[in-house]
Amino acid sequence: MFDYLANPTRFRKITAALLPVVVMVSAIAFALGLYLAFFASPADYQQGETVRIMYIHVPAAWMAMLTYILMAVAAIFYLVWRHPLADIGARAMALPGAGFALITLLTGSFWGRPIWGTWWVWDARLTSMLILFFLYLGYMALADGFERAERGSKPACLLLLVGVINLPIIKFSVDWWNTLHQGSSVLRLDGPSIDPAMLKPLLVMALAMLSWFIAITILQMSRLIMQRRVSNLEARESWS
Amino acid sequence: MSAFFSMGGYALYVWSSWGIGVAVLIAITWHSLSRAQYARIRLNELEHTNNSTDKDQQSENDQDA
Amino acid sequence: MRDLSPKAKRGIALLMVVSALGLAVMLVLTALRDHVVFFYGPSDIRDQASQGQIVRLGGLVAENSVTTLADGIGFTITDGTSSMDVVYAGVLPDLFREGQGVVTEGVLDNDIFRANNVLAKHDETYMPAEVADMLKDQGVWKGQE
Repeated sequence: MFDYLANPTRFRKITAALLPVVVMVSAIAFALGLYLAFFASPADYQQGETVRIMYIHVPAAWMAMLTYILMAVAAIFYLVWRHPLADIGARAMALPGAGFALITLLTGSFWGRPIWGTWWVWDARLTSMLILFFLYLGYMALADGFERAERGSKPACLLLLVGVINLPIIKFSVDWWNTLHQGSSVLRLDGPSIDPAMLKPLLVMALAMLSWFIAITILQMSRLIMQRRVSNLEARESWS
Repeated sequence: MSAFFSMGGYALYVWSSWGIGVAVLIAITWHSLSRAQYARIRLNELEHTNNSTDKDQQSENDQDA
Repeated sequence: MRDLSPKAKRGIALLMVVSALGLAVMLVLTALRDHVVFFYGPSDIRDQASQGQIVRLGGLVAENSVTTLADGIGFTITDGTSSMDVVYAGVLPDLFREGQGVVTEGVLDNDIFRANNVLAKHDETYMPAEVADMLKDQGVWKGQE
């Protein structure tokens, strides 16, 4: 797949066709998601209106983990097959990934304060999510920390792969240890323990964030490709 | 309407969460757009000053990308 | 190894490094297992904590156990098999109520837990109030009261 996409002309053609589609999907899903989250969904029997924080908190948490998985796959493609486009893909996804992790942490804090009675606790779920955020920051610092951008690629991709161990810890922390954070409501073996009227805004917001993420990734990848061409041309100019 | 905005007394928490979430998404969108714009302008400049060598650049670029 | 392509060599090296690291983290986590626990239940706390040491005690607030005392409020935390009385003076979270999950932080004082912080813990069930009432009416309610 990477070989097929690696041709820059073909990459440009495919992404140019895909970009308007994902932008449209994202805009529609965001509008529908906002409507469902605030007007067409009930308050929770225990938590009241604070349940509406879930519709941004949980999709952001899913996307923070999905983004990391995608970056780790790209890192394998880069480290084993040395495919520059895989490196560019991982770099492109880092900023939205860090954004998702940040949204998860901050909205979680604003949810925890009224419901749990605290902004933050060092339980296994919250701590492992914070580590995910730091992994994104560490990746970006390593990837962009060198004067010649490509020199940072290898260590940054290695960091990504090492950090993969954190993903099952985030997901299963609530089952393995006593945590303040509750267990999973949607991705659980015996089906969601969440009312359909509340599941719908959750899934629509997840679609909105996923399509937004694809649009940003395309934008960032084409920017990074242009930047590499710029630095090649600059090098050539200084030679001649 | 005011009942809607007061969110059952949880206005601060609900609206702050959504405010932060939307702000982060908008900030990243804006940042990505402006960096892409900058790279496009810079690339155009360089390609126009280097017209004579365009052909071999193109083939070299295809290899790197 | 000599006959392998550089690509396969890189793949194998990567696999080895990553699995070694994964194994190391797993061992560390296993060793830390008891320390990662955020709170103890009433069954474990007497074995796990010594008098006067700051620990967290979690469980459900027992029905009809919340009382107003001279120096705050008192309630009982239970996990079904064992229970412990808690004394607390301070602000309670909105979700604090009988039958709800709770995590308290404080010290063990003989057989009373003196909490200086109380956090609410909820389960992963979300539904509108009408649905909760309906389930209770139909007698198929499985959750907390």
